[in-house]
Amino acid sequence: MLTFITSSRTKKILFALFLISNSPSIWAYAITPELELKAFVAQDYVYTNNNPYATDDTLGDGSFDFREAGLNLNWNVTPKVRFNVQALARQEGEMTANGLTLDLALLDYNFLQTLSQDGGVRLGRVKTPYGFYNDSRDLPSARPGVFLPSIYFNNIRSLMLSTDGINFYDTLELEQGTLSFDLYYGQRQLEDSTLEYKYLSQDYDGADFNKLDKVGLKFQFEPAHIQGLSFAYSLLHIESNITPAPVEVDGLTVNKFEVQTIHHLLSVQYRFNNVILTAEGMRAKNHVKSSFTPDNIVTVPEYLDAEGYYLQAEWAISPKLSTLVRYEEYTPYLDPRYKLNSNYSSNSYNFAIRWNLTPNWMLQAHYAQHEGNADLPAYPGLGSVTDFGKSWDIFALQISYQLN
Amino acid sequence: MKRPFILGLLCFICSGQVYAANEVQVISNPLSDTQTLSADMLKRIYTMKLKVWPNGTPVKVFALPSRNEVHQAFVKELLNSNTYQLDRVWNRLAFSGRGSSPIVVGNIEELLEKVQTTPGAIGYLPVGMRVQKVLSIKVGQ
Repeated sequence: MLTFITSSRTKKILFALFLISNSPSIWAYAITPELELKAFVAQDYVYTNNNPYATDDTLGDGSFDFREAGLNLNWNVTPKVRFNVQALARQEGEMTANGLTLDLALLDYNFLQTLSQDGGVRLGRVKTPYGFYNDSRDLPSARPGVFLPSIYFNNIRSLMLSTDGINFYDTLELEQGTLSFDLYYGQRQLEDSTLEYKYLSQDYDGADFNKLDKVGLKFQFEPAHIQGLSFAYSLLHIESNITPAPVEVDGLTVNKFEVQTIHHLLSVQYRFNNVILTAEGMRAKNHVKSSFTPDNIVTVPEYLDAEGYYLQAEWAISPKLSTLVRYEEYTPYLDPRYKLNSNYSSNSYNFAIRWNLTPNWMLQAHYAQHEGNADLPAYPGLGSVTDFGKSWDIFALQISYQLN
Repeated sequence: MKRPFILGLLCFICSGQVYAANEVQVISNPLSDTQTLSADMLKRIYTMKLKVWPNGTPVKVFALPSRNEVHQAFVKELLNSNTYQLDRVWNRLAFSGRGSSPIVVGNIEELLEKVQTTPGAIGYLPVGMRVQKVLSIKVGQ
């Protein structure tokens, strides 16, 4: 990977991109007025001490095996009908969700367009509206820092990201302020082993969580008399079953393994002058129904309530330079009887800085000091998180290019 | 491998003209039938939240590139923001699947031509630039 970054061919391509991006006259910003293409590419360097992050290589000299590229095509068929599709190629160390995916493929019928209302329906693969950052979580410039807060569950990103189904949406301009809502329902086929690693600690041949059923909503309100203030509530309900059932796994028979999770997320944000203050708090109620033969197996507890929150302040020193500080906590097992180890929760102090080199190029640096391992991403060969040290630091450097 | 390098160098040399602009005027296609807008409505139009004119005609939003000084003056003076923040809003709309961003054209002559010929179009130009076949919009508080 170091070879890729430092090769002369790569340097020439990057330099050409830099020169081109400084010449606005060359751009055809829209393929036609109705057809628009956007893209981004990002390359990260990640270093950790004590604990590996998504790959063992972050220990020692650090790792460049973190990159993503997105391509978004939008077609305004008519003023009320829009087609949008997006592909994302992603590598995050050795996590199973790596690869090329179709993130988005929707038809948007925006049939309610007035001075005080903007509403409609989206059909297809739609991004999941959840909190302030989920539906644009893969866009480097939209993320607060290189890493999202832990309550956005990078570990189970493929569950959070999008839904194949229907999304009703509406925004109302009221005397009291702006009220918007989203309601969505659908399914999602999982193409990775995210849930296998979360609940079974590994990917067993022949036993998979393939399909998710998803339903959720999000309300957001911005009061008219306090400019810059936003409140939101998000609800996300996911169900999945192991298939086939029953199935033989490691000498056991899994008769049934059903997972149901309900997330409640409260969000508040206040923007004033060059400062943005954000706080989000999550409570997740997880219900696992499992049955094994023999039946004396110690399995995942039936009820696993989890909780997390963060407090964040961003300051734009100038239009090109901004900084961020964030404190966050995440506890996956609220019931102390089921805590595997005292370090299976997490809290962290985060500091990030962003430099907009040009309208297209952005550089970010992110440092976090962690206590606990609850938000360590699972990947093949990681082992048990209780094996690792409780205190660990992570540093990431990211350069990204955005075709606007 | 020489080709990307040479292409990039040529593009850099042929960069567009620099327009110094301390004041910006908002213009619209005559079918908008609108000559005044509040600052809030203008911001809602350019953040793609307001999609129709008061007479029901769909709004077609045009903008200049982020590096253009007229665009920078427009965003700062009339939208009370900066180009990085606005780009972020537009990109989030696209990458979340929730909407599209304005149509970006290469220069002010092209923007004027688009506003003149596109029903419901809105754009902006330097104050003092002589224009025809468009409405000049006064932006209030």
